[in-house]
Parts: sequence; structure tokens; C-alpha cells
Amino acid sequence: MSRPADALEVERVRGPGRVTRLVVPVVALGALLAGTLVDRDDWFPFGPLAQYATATKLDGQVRSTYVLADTTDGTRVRVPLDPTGTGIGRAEVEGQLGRITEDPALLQSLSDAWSQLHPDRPQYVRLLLMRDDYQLRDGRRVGAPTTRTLAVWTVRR
Amino acid sequence: MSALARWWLAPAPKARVALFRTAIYLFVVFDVLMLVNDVVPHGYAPALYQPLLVGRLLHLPTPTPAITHTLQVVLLASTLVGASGRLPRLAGWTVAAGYLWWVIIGMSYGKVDHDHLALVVALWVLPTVGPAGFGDRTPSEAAGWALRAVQVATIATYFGSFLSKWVRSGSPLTWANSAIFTWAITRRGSALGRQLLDHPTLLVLGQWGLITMEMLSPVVLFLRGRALLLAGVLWMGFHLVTWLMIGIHFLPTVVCWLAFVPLERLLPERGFRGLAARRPDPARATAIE
Repeated sequence: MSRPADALEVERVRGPGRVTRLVVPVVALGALLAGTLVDRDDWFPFGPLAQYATATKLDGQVRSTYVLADTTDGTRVRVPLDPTGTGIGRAEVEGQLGRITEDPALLQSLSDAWSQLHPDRPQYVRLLLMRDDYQLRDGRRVGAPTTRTLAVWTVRR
Repeated sequence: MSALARWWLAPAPKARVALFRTAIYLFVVFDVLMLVNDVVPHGYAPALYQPLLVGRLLHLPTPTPAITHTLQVVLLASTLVGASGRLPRLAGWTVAAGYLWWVIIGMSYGKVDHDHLALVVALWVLPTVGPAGFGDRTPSEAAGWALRAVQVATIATYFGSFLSKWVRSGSPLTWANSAIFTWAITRRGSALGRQLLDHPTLLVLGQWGLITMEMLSPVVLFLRGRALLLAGVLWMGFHLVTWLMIGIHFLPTVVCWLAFVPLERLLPERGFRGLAARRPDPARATAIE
């Protein structure tokens, strides 16, 4: 019973609007392809779609970074690297790992964000940037992870 | 008219784009509040701001809590206006620009996500359609083009992932035979996902399945009817499994699959004789009661 679509006249696009609609997709797809091949995340939104694109060797290592904190009430906690905890994600810390290990003062940002987002909770006095390395053999995890401390920062008030 | 132009400008009912637009704008409200909800908190960590190329070129200011809160309010207001179908161009361009800035901020702290490509494209093409009523089935090339652009962007997300795996891993085979799923599950697996860590062969098979789907994804653009439905179900299944295993949902891409759906069939049609002729007649409605 599809009478209406046949009965109604098609609204066409003409002139410059038509040309633009045919040219823009070519340019945009070209830019996306270039960003993918050159492989620059910096070119977002025309960067590579590279989530989980880097192969991990079956006999390689899985590395997982996290941040611990000594707090004002004397406990050691894991710093929530998520939108509601500190606003900074784990992958973002990993993305700037080189910068942070070179200049641990950047960890101060995590403490500042935490204290502004959660002023009523115990505050951080010392931050430890940690990494667990899991060894794989034939794609299977073997043994307990090796834990390393990558940076330590005493929080400034 | 060349075949390519015919394909890009294949007419679609305006009602389809009207419904798609409302769905997308309502999703943006959800996204801004629940998914890319780290933008406002990011304002508290200026030292970690590493602006992307586009942010540097446009001289976007370093986000502060005042900037991010204001942007959020403007974005939510224009999105709700757009969802109602009113001021499709003014509200639409405001959402497009505001949301692009929003995700640029979200991606400027050391990690770039890739699940927003199709959604950003959708927001930039929707305002080009202009006014479109929910019951207006007039076929329009402008409406068809906007939906086509979203379809292409959705598929480009998958095919681009395939190319990136090739670029980053050296070859698709290296990626398919790697321990990448083990890596993902070790780092962020659910209880369900972690059970798979003892079955690396199964995970490698899954990798082969995924990269094959990504490589063949452009075919979806040319499917119709049942075959298209099957492809859609397959991809929805992939996103569901990924979410159950490692908590990554890709909803911004999932919602753009609606561009493949004849949404206008959800509503009664009023376009045949024009809007006024099909409005329910109050006198008649009373009579039926």
C-alpha cells in the first residue's frame, strides 16, 4: 500500500547545493583515509580509528597502569581514573605516561581535580603511579604480575 | 546523472530524517550527561590539557569549569530545541559546533576515542535538510543525502578500524593472530570476559571474526531488506558482546545505525494530501467515542 511515495513529487537539490553534497564526502573520506594511513591521533576527527588496533604478541606482555594514593586519614586507596572520580581516565594517564614520569608534578592535577570534585572526602597526600606487567605465553597469562612504581609525587597544598 | 550522484542523492522521505533527527538529538543529551561526561571534570585538570591539532588551529581556550559548564548548558538547550523539530538550522548548527568542541575537549587529555565519528557527521549533515515534519513523506534528495552520509560514516568507522589494524600491526593477519583480546580483557574485562582468558584459541577466533566483519563492512551499504537486517543484527550482536566482555558499548555508533531504518513507518503518514487534510477531526473523534 505504498501510494504516497509514488504519488508525491521528489524534492530535488540543484545548483551549488548539489555540487557541495557530492564534493564534501570525497574530501572528508580522503582526509579520514589520509589520517588513518599517516596514523596521527592528533588529526582528530580525521585521525586513525585505532582503538585496539595494535597487536599484542602471544608471548608478549599486558601492561596496566593505575594510581594509588595515601590519604589524609592514613589509608592507601586506588585513585578513581574515571569521569566521576577525577575526570581523568586511565587511558589518558597512559597516553601521557612519558610526560608524567618525566615531570611527576603533573600528578598534582589528579589531586587538585579530586579535591575540587570531592571536597568532603579524605584528600590525597602522596600519589604513586604504578604499573602491573602480566607475562603471556601462547596467549595465556602466566604467573602473578610484576608491579613497578613509575613515579611518586608528594601533594602540595 | 551519474550513478554516484544517484546513489548519494537517493531520495528519502522527509519524515524519516525528522524522526532520525529527534532520536539523534535526544541521544546527544544522554551522551553529554552520561557518556562523554568527563568534559566538565576535565576543566579541573588544566595541566594535563594537550590540545589536538584542530584545537590549536582554532585557538580554542584551555577548558575551565566555567567554559565547560557554559558549553554544556548551550549544548543541552540547543539539542532539546532541535529534538522538537523547531529551528532545524539554527539549533542544528549550534549543536553541531558545540558538540564538536565538546568531543575535542574530551579527546584532548591524552586519549582519542573513535566511537563518535558517525555521530559527529550526523550532527553536521542534519541541519542541511532544513524543515521536515514527522508525518511528511515527501521524498527529498536533501534528506536522502543526509542519511546516506550517516550510513557511510557508520561503515567508515568499521572499515577505518580495519585499515588502522593493518597500519598499526603491520598486517591484518598479525592482528588477527595476536593476543589483543587477552590484552583488552586483562585490563578491563568483566567477570564474564575474564572466563575467556583461559581459552586463548577462542579469543583468536573471535579476532578473525571481527576483522573479517570490518573488512567486509562496506558491503552493508549496498544491502537491502532481510540481508541488511541480518547485517544490522550481526553488528548489534558484536557491540553487545563487547559491552558484556569489556564494558565498551560504542552506543554513539550504534544509534547511527538508525540511518538504515525506514523510521517513517513508525508513524501514520500525513504527507499524501498535505498536513492540514490529515489532521484528526475533533468532531469525528467525538462521534467515534
